[in-house]
Amino acid sequence: MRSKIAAAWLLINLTCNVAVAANAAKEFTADNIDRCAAGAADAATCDSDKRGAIHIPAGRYFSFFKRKDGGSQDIPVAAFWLDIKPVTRADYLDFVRRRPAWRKSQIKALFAENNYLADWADDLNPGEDTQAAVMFVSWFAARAYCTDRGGRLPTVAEWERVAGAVDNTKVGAPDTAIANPQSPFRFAMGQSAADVRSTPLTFGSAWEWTVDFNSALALGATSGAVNNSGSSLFCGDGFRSNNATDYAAFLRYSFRSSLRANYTLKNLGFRCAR
Amino acid sequence: MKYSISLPAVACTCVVAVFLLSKMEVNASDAHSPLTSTALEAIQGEEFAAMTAAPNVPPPLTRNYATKVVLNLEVKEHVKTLTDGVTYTYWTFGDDAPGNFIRIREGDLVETHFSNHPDNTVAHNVDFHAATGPGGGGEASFVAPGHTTTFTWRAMKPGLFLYHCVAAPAGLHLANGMYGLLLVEPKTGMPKVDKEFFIVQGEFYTKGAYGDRGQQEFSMEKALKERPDYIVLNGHVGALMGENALRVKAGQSVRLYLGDAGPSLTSSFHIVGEIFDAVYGEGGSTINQHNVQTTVVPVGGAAMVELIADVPGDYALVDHSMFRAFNKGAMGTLKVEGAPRTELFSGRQSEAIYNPGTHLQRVAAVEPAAPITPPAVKYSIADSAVIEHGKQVYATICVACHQPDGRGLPNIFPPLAQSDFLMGDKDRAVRVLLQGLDNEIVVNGHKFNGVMPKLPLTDQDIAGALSYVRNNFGNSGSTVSQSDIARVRAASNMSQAQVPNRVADGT
Repeated sequence: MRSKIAAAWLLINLTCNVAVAANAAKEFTADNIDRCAAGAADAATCDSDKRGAIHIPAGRYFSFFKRKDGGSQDIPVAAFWLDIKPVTRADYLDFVRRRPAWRKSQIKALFAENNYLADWADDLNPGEDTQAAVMFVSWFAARAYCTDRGGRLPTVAEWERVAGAVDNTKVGAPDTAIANPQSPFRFAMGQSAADVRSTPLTFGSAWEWTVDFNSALALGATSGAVNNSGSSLFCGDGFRSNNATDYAAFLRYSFRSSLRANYTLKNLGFRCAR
Repeated sequence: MKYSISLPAVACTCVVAVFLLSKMEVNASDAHSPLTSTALEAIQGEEFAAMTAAPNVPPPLTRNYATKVVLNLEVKEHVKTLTDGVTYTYWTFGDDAPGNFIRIREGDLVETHFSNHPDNTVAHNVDFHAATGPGGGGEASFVAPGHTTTFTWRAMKPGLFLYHCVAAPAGLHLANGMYGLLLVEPKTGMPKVDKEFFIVQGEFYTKGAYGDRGQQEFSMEKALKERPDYIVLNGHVGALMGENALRVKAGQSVRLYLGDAGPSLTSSFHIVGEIFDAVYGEGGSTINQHNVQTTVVPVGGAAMVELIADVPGDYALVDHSMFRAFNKGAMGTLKVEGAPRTELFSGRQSEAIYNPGTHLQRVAAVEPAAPITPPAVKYSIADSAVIEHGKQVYATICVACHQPDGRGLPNIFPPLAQSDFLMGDKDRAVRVLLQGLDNEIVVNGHKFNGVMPKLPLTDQDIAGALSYVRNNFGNSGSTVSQSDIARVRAASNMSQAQVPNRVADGT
């Protein structure tokens, strides 16, 4: 998994030549992360705040896919920081003010579909509800935003650990995957791994980009075609998954598989990790 | 699979394709031999696919040539009513489950434009069972919300075919309503009939039990066990009942296009009181049986049945796995209108008391715990005793339709629980029990059009049953006495003799 991510990053950096800005926002500075991870009790920077991130300790993600090499299904996930909330329109407005290349009228066609920021009135007018999560953003744009803040998009494993993980060790325990009954995405969201379940993270208002969204393709077809991760998920076939009862996970992987990096969807936003 | 021309080539360069295809026409007599390839017809012209919403079927095609059919399919995710008071987030092709019935001709080239609405939340696709090619188009059509895909396929084989979503997890997409029927008419057309309808059976797996109110979530647990609480015809309880009944005239020939989307349970399709003159088994292109009472519709499959609606009346359409029909929703109505045909079916000709005596005593001896024999008292008994007697009457007679919880069955049997009809007019309730009921009524805002027969109840039974139901199931009202019944009877000019004594009285 890790090498694939690295390869994907490399590929993207080579082919797309996205400018990497080191203009880190304060909540993501390396100093802060190290200090807070070491246990500093500094409420201003270490605890969750209105615009902040939260420290997710090192832990495990029980793979949804069976590994063909017979290796452990229990995948270690290193400690990381994750935004408490998805990136808002106000946040994104600040970004495009500083980075004109990502404005609605300026963005290169390669990086986003033509309905990029479709619900914005114009380049610098995101509409009335500036605290709503920004939608209609491509993977390229989301990635550029996070890079600008000195962060990155979370990996699938990270995202699943905090928002998607039913207890996949208990195969045959369905209907545990619903965490947020008020959300239209309630059927597809899971709940955090036990050791991070008490975090104030909010999920479920929309889908979110992950950096390696296309690393595990859950094809919707019956052709048995094998993708680059070696699994086809034949109609969502259970036998390649570690938990055939986790239909919510099938929906998440299926959805991610339907995406391309330039897609800009009404119900797809993002948050950053570090 | 042996043709040298790829489908996109046919779609994109129609002129060239027509030229090449016309050269490929060979031996048309092989057209229905299963192990030889059929020659492809030349494609002439272009038109939109003929489509209709359930239960209607587009009229027969009049073309005698193959054409390019442009088929637009849009997926929507939206909350719809599963049954009265119960909603579910349906995923549908078009506006509802089942999706539109699509009618094309053998040899047609189907250019499919598959669109996933921007408001949708998950990826979808479509698998046409009528298509020959990997996944029936599943992979070719798989697409994110707010996107559209195009793929083209050739309708090589005539017959009735299901189409459905097969995106992961496929069972969930089917259980949420993503299915429909597509008819590929043979080159010679379908034999003409007077009326055509389509019915697709499908299951809904809800967290709550049948009838539990409010928005229901999908239950993976019930899906895994293949134990749906709802098994419905055309997507909803009552989709083919009451005002939505299928209507034909006596003497008309009728063809029903049947599908079973499952995702789990095979249907044993039956029309109560009818016989299928002809069955196209499993939806294939040949009539393979005549005079059939019940036909199997396999999951992921279809069947076509034909009948002549000889005798007027209401006919129940059911999955003959009967608890599915009466308790889970797999029921509809075929209403045949016309003059009586008493030479074919007389209807009830007489009714009389049947009292062999000894038999009933034996039953009573075997089951002493079922005290259906009313006490032989001629005097008024206390309210509690009246209600206790009524409880027994209810448990032995009324419960079959009005259900143990008094809530009836949506669109079929009206509720007694918190029923404005029952509680609003005590005398009317007495009249219903004395005379039966055979017209449309409105209960709590919902129309019911069934028949409640006049039952063999004594005045004591009626007083007891009404007192019981008016003080149960959340109801609270005055009890009904035998003098109330006498008063209503007098006011309605009914004679005592019109009320049969109950057999069990032994009188």
